[in-house]
Amino acid sequence: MAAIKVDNLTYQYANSSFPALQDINLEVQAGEFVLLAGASGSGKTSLLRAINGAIPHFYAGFIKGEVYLDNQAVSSLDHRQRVQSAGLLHQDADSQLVMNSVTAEIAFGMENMGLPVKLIRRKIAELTSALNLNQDNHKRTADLSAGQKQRVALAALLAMQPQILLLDEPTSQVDPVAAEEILTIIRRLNEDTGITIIMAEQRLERCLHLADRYLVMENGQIKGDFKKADDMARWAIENNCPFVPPVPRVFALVGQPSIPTTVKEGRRLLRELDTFSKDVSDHKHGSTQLKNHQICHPEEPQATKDLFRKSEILHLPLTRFFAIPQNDTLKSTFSIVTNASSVSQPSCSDYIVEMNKVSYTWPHGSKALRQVDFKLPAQAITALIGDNGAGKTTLLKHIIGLIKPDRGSVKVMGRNTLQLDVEDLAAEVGYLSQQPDDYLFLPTVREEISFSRHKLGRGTAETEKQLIQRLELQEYLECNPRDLSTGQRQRVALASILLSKPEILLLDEPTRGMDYNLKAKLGEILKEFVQTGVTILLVSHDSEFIAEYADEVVLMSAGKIIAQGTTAEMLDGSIYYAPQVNRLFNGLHEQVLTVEQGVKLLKRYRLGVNDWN
Amino acid sequence: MNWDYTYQYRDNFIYNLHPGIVLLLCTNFLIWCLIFSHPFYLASLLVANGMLMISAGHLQTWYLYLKFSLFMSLVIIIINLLFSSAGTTTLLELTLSGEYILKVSWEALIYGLGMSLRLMTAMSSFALFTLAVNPDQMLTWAGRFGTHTALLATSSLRIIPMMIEDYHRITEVQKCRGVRFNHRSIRQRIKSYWPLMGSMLLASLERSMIMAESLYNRGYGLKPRTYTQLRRWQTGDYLVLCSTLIGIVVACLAQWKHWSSYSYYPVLNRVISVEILPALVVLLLFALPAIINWGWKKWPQLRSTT
Repeated sequence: MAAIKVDNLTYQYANSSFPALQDINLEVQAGEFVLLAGASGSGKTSLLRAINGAIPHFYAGFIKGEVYLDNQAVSSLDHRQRVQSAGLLHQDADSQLVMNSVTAEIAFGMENMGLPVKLIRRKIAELTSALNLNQDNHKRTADLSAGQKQRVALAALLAMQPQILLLDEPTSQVDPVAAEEILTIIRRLNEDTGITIIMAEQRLERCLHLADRYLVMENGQIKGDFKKADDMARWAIENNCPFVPPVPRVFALVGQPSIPTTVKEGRRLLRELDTFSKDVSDHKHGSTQLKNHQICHPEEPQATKDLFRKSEILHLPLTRFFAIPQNDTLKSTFSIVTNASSVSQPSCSDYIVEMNKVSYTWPHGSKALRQVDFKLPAQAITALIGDNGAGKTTLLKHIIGLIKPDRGSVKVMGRNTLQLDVEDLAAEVGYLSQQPDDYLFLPTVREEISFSRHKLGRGTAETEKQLIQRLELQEYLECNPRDLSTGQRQRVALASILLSKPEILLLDEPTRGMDYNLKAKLGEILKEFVQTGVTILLVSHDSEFIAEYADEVVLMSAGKIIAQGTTAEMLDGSIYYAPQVNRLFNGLHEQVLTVEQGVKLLKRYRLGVNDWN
Repeated sequence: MNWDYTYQYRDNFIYNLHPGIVLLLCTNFLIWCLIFSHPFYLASLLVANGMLMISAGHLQTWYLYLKFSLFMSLVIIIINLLFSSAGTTTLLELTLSGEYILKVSWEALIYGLGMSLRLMTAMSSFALFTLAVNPDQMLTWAGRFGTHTALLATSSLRIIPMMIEDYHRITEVQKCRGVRFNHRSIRQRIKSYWPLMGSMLLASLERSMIMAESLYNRGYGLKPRTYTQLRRWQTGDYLVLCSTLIGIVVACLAQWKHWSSYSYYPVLNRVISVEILPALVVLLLFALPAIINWGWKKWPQLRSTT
């Protein structure tokens, strides 16, 4: 018997001109873990709402078809039955927390269900232990980090013992460490309790291995339904669909028959590939010194040089990774590389922002920045990483002048922000905050996008048109931005900032809610901006995006800058911030960060294909 | 987020009061500041409210609320001075564009000040309500009288802190987009603030929707319901309840005897001594929690009894 049965469901929101869900037919068995992939606005949230019963009981609109939970039509269930059947966890923890303290939040649903007080207290104790919330029991929910809030929201949901757990991008707003914790909890719940789970997610690299089944949504329809992740990966590659995480993508792109979905499986496969292992082994013992060295040789084919382009540009300490031959010819060849890197080292005048011993304390007393010395290299993409509350956003706000330092100085293009208003910097420094909704106040997407352009007198109608197309917003131009999905709103806010083309772009979590395809498009736009002289500083938890597009990475923790270096230096071998491809080749081959690099390396070592083009 | 605007537990008598009592105190201030017109009575309400705020440990936040009220008050005073011609004691007379005579009167100025006192008291009572009432306890307690009442009470508890937060956040973002809010021209300033108001309104509406969905998903409104955090009534609550009720009786008496009524136009009423005494009694009775709090801090044994 299916735990969930969706029968020919079509739904259109009352204020919308097109259906959010179209002819959905789906059966999910009890205990299944289903991963729901799809672009922003493809109907993932609407499907979860329909299963949960919020559609049509809470959201008015046109509906056709039916959803059955344990063979009972959702429309025939009363409120209590619906709540006990399927619990929905939203992506934004803040919006779903209704109580002030952690224990009150967890108890709230159980109180509404009328459970005995003793049982409620016991369940609170159990859930806080299970979800590692013991230390936060008596805290205010407002004082928790994003990851803690999401765990509290999950605990509150589990307290009501739903038979089905619906998760709407539960890790989209948390740092990698917290995301890992949440996903581990979810996996354990599915394995230990057999609860049915449907999880919508954009960043599949974190969770592909967790699921038993994979659904791909597009324009409100289920386009693909797969039992195995490698089937989905292969289908997605064939159909040019962007929903393939880096590890399966690397293997799928080289035409590997069996496609691993996790780093662990991928590494096992790599070891099984004799040629590769032998090659690596030889490489480690120095017998392939010459071969390895040729990677950096100027006469190597262009693609080979491209593969290690980052090494050259980003002045990697190559001796760490390659056994360098000691003969003079090779030494001189190697010196070409090292000289090249020293040339690209930025000089003092190449820094567009300089922060000197900046400290800042919030009015309620907690220290946000502690003696921060930071220089932002001009005409490059720099990524700020670190856990939630590390001070990344505060640092951005210092650069735009929204926050003035308590101590120290911030100089933007040589001007001290203490003597400047935010509005004075607005034309030169563009800022995208974490909450795109704050940008949206005009009635149409078109007006919203062109607002900054008209206000600041920068950008042209032609660039506006191009940007709209590249961010795939053309079909929403006459829509009210508030009617769009979270990811679409993010793109509208982003477009309005990018259009004014400032000298410095500060982006706080720009890829939130974006699929791989849109992220790639954004990355290309940012790269083009850099080529035309724009400097970009972005805060992101998205290691894959950073690995692909950032030139420099800055790690922050507890209001301090812990480390700063090239992307390869900072991400290579990192425990939490390394991209998946780097984890795949970790210890086997270093400095491999991107899918492109991974594919080329696999082609060469695994398949013996020397066709670099 | 600026935490000063939201509830955060502090170990003092006012924070340990039953949410219903704090609600009673705040509505009491709000209702009487609308009924009273005598500046003395309005001032006594403001002082009593201020004493509670300071005693609860919120001098700085109260100052911020007053600062905001002062801006609004200034607008009220200026509009009243410019457009009210009912006063007889002329301070200034100007002939504008040949026909229109601008008359600024003493009565209009005092009336404007009285209205400012009223506004500041109303704002202070909101401040006390949002800062000193535990929203969880309020939702639980008010839920017994109906889910809609509870939702209304909790929403009003959150609305001011959230709107302040929205205001700061949206202003920041719009400044970054080149919107100037510090224009000298009032017309330009209104033009700048207009989209901000739109954004704030939309944000509030959306938040209400999301919160309503969350409450729905968590089974809010189902019956029967159990309570884990039900706050029991204590001696201190009864004490404050009694003093507030007596204060209400005194205020009713003052209103019945027209001691708390005041006529600003055409000439200001004379203040007589019999009017002042009830105002002081009202002040003392409504500010009793602040006095108890002083003793509560000084004598620990009082804590166990209240």
